[in-house]
Amino acid sequence: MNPISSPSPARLATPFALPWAKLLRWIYVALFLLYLYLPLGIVALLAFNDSDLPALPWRGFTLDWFFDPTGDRKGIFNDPQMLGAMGTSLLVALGVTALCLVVGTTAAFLFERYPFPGSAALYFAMVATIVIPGVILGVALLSTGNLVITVLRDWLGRPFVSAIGLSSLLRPGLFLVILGQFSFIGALATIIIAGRLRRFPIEQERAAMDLGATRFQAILRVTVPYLMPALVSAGVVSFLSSFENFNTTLFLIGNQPTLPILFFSRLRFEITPQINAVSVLLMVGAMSLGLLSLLLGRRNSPEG
Amino acid sequence: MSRSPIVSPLRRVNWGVVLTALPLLVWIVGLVLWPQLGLLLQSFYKVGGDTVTLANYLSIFQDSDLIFLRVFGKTLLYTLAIAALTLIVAYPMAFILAKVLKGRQKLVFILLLATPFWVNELIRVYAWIGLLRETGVVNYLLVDVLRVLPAPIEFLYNDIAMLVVFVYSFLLLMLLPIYSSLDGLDDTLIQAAQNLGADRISVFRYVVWPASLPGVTSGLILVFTLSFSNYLIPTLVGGKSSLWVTQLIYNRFVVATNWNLGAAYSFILLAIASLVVWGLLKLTGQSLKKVLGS
Amino acid sequence: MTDAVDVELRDITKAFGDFTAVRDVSFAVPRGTFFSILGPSGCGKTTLLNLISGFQEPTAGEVWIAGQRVNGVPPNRRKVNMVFQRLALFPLMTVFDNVAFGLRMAKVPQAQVRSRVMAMLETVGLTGMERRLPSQLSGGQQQRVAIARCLVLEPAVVLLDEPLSALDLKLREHMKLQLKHLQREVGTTFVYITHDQSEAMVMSDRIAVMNEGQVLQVGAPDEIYSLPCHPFVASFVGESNTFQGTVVELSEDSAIVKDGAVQMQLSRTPDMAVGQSYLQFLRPENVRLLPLDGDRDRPENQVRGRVQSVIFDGAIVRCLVNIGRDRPLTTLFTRGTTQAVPYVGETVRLGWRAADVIAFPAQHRDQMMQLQKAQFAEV
Repeated sequence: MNPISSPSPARLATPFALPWAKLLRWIYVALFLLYLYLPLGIVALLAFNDSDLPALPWRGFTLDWFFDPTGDRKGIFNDPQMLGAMGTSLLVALGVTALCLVVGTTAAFLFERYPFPGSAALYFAMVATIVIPGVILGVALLSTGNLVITVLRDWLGRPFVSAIGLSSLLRPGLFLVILGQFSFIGALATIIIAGRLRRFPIEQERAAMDLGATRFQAILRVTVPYLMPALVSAGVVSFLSSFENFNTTLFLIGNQPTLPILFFSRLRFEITPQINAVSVLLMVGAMSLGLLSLLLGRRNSPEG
Repeated sequence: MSRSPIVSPLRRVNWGVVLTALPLLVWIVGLVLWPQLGLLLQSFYKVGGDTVTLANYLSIFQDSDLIFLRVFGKTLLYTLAIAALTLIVAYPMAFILAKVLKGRQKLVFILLLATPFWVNELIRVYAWIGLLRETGVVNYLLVDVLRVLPAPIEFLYNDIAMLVVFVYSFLLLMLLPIYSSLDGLDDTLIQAAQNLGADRISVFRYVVWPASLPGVTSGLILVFTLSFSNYLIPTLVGGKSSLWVTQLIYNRFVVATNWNLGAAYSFILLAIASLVVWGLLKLTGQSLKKVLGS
Repeated sequence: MTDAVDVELRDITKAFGDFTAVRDVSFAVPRGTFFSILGPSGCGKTTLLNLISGFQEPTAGEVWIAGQRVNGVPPNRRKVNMVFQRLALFPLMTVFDNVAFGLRMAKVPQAQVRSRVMAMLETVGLTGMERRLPSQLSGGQQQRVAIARCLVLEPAVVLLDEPLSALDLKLREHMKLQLKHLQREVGTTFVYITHDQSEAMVMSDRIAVMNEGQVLQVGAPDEIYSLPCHPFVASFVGESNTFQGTVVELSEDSAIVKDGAVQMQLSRTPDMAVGQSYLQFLRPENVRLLPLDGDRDRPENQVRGRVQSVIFDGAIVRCLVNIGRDRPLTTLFTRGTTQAVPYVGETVRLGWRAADVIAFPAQHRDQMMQLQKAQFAEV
């Protein structure tokens, strides 16, 4: 083929099409998808296998690992520890999500709308939290909590500090877990929201004000609806990141483990199909939440 | 057009900005900068001591067998290998997604690729344990179904297994940024290059690769830092010899309860990680804000 | 048209630090007029718009709207509404909700909102579109929604910030006439910002020409075109053959000015003196092709040249004739008149009347060059 000649329309349409290349491409895609889905598929399958080990061969279908009626097998819905951990994780995730949405939105407005001295440095510090190892974030927060308690005791006296509950808040526990997770998940939320705010045509806010809206009304009725897809996806990302967090949580957890922590400790001692059952629940939950946010995000985002 | 900024009525109500700034400041200063500085300070003291010293940092050279240095070096090497491997596995898929698939097909594939990554990291690791362990599915297939092996082999707890799971865990973090870079590349540029006589390799080298570079950098940084600081995968899948630097740090904090030493280790980790990220940015000519800001 | 004035600027100056965007601007917009502010980008016209709408406050001077001084009144409390350059329709609201937005902000009762919005949509010819989203409308329809959104509030003035600039050429031509008719129909005062002189010419009752923060001339389009009172206006509005020459001879009612090889006669003004430098503007339609040997038609100025190119632009024909200087002389006539279209290379005789030459004393040597740069910077 003469490379100088003008390409035919067919060649332009698919720039990298050779017969064998096409075959190779689909083999690659198939292997890729297999790599992604096979492990998860098997986890799900083994949750329903009527066997005491999460392993093949297939011995028949059962729901024992979800709700065992006899009590021989510990189904997750008969396992108070497991249910408790789920509740804890849910609570933490909701707390983190709420914090992320509120702070993420204000931070996004600040970064995008009101450049102030030091804004770039602050942004950098924020983004850095994503790449700081989670373990270090957790440890640092924990030792700061300890420091604050010590200093406050010296200043205000032990009884007072205990009375207002500060020391229990700053000791390992759910409050610290929420703060610790938020400290880096907040950056993800901010980046998502700021990204959409950046594309918001500011004229629309001015138009609303020109038509008689106050600034607050303009933001509420014009800007926030525009941000909605970003808020939904920031919410989902925050929720899921919190729900799965292990590294940061590890050092901040008190006597109420979150699901990943419990899952981890179970994993190290005995592996039963109950773990598969939990996995199935989480997979279904996470996947549907993720899909929902993607679809909502697409539907609600006509560009201005 | 007017070169001047529009004076918004909010300029007069400064407390509005202050109110917006407060949560951000509390977060960054209170939850990030202060704790990190506190930890940094701790690393300069011996346990219970009150004089500033570099002893914690110097101790890495006095370990028996130089364990920290060896583990650290190995982690660093493996992490770079993981980042490179992930890039190789993910790049073609990102290209196919951005440039070959169109319309509905593309949407379906995006969903198909993104979905597994909404799943908890622990579950994804657990899935591989289920596949590879001695009583796992792979052994079942090889021993009981295909009968190519006389007895089950432990595929877990070695470096290869660890690499496979690492790549699996961080694939999407590489795929998505590259995809979005390539998606922004105008198809007509590829056509123009071909029209001007470029062959496949030249098109890739001069048009496709430069366009994907921001995404590649961002993917490399994410995969590198997250595997470097990962604790779960080496602990659950790695073998005795695959000690990871985070495990070492964890041990200092929890087993030896030597926080000061743990803090020093943490900062060495942070410093090296930052250095590598910086090096990657320099190498590819990108900026952190550009790479992680979108 | 009555004597009432809807917008009046009195000695307005607006400075941003060292940069003065608008300097000593005064003009009045009579009620019900279509008033355009025309000027190249950076001339301060957008600043003027922001001062009228209230998004900015003047450094000095007063803004009056519908008989009230509005300095310090925030934008949402001025009887002025704006059509934005990129329209700024709310993308997630239907056409109805977009138009109803201002009424709802003003807490108008629901039933009344409905009837007023529907009536307004009928006025702008969008009946039946009220449930569509802006993204489902054509460019022209979006334009009308943006205008309806303002008009429904019955403002004293509608400000339009180059709202046609985003449209393609054909639609733009169409919308020019539509806008003008709409304004006639509703009778609201329109203040229209543009850098496109053809938009201003077609639509406006009056035009204010601006440059470098100052208003140079205010007048009807015809007046601006045929009697410019400033060299910038002459060069910015309409097409011209330009010369910068020196007065070599004066008589009772005429002067001879020489620009290199070209020498022409023009009407004398009282302050002319021999040796003075002058800028001359000559509209192409005033340059006529004359028969080579005829002597019935004898304008004061005549020149011979060779046709360099002939450009057909629909009904209009432009001839560029080389008359022995660096730039050719352009003549323009309508096709189908008695004139035969010359061919390239033909020698022709051109003529123009002394009264058709517009002249201004030149401030410095390269003034013409600068004027032309300002004009072409826009294109």
